[in-house]
Amino acid sequence: MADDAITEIRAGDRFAFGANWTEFLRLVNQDRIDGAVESMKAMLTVSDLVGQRFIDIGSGSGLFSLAARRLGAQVVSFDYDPASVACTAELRRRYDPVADGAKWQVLQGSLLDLPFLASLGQFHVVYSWGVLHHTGDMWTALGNVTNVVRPGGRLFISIYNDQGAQSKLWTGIKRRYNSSGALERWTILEFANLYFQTRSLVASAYRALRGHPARRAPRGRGMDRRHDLVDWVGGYPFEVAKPEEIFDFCRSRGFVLQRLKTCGGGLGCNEFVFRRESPLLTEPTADTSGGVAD
Amino acid sequence: MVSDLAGARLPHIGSGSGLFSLAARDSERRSCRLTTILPRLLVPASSDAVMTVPRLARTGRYSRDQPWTWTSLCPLGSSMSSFMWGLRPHWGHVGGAGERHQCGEDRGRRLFISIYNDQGAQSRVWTRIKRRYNKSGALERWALLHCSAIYLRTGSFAAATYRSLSGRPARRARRSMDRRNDTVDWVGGYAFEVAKPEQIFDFFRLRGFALQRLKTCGGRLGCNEFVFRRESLL
Repeated sequence: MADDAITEIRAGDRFAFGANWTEFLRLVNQDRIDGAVESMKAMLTVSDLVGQRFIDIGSGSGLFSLAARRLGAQVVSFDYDPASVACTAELRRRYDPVADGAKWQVLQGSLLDLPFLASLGQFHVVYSWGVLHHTGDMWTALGNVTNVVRPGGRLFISIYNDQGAQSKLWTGIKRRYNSSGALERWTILEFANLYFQTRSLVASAYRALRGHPARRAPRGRGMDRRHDLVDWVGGYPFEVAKPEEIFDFCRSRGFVLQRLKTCGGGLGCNEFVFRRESPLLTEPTADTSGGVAD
Repeated sequence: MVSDLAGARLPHIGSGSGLFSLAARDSERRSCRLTTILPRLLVPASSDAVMTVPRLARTGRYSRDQPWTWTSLCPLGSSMSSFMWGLRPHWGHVGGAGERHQCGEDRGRRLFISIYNDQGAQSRVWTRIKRRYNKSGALERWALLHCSAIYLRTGSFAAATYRSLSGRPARRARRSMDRRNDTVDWVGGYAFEVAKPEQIFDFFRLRGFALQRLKTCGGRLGCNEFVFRRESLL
């Protein structure tokens, strides 16, 4: 499984999410951890997760697994990318060294691997932020995720917003980035940086002209701008969905929407918190290829 | 999702032309009891009134035999449901309109609403244009209307060209309106408020409604549509 991920990355079919997270790890500090804890509490509308089983699917840096641990949950984290798994394990070693395997388990595995998922059991909170759209088979991945939510449990996911033609253009750029050499990657990255900086500058100028206070970059999820940019430009495989597509899919499987946060139709993720109300109506099918990353 | 509205009571709040009231009547002529509710006043009108549809009937734009291309009525259940399309933003206070409306809702009933999407700065610009339009004389109205039409149709033309170049079928108009009346309705439509999908969702969820259907306008200019079901009493 780990070899599959490395082979896909080397072939340019998958972005090395884990390498990006490894670099980000040195920036993790108490402020970022607190930010992650607060954003999770706000979206799940809880003060703690004591006594709850929590799974972080596509754990990336492991920051939100750590946030769940800080809220008292019993955590399972897994990722398809071995470097991300190493990141999460390192974060556990640094910030939660007393956690044994029962309190915080870190695994390598694929979201598209049904036997692997079945072996993990069901959870009170299933968290998969910005992951399902990078598996290469988003709808199968989403179906699989619904299987691990216990009745009455919650599913917290975010999925890239479908911007139509723009999303198709970004898919092309991301594919090109992953199949390029170092120089072309650098060029693509800097053009993307210029594009986003210009947008940000125009928005700031507009706010200043209107007399509105400057907007601070939303770093509630504990990321920094440069790593976000690399993650965005490189993030491939890449799929998108409209809010209603996610809503319809989950509702047909017995989930009720509890929280919704859209990105206003722009570039970014729409966030959803669903509660599983009834047994699944349909069992999704999946092959065992592909994987999870963030 | 329903095939008909047999036995339903359907208050159509802000009936406008009455076209969609007529659609509800046509979906089950035998027993659908339909109430037209006037905006602002919330006064139930005679159910016979909805059958007149004077302007559309005169111009022949609506025929009882024409197939309905509008599918948004389908989510309404065969129980007392409420239908408000693009109305609540024009009441001048979105939240207040919701508060008033829910008073008549019982558990298990459905509410079908559409609300203009919040586009941020763009929505603020349109609010000013609309305010100006409604305070202007004939000449300025004409100018605002035509400038807006050029802007809106340039966008439509660009989108249609893109669809054509990428080999996709042309997008058909969905709600049986004509372009001229749509433009006047849009430019003149004041009072005007907007909301993000999550604001509407949160508002009704707090009041015991569960979302059943959602259709967004992709963050663009237009309405987001919602079908809620009342799950619990206040």
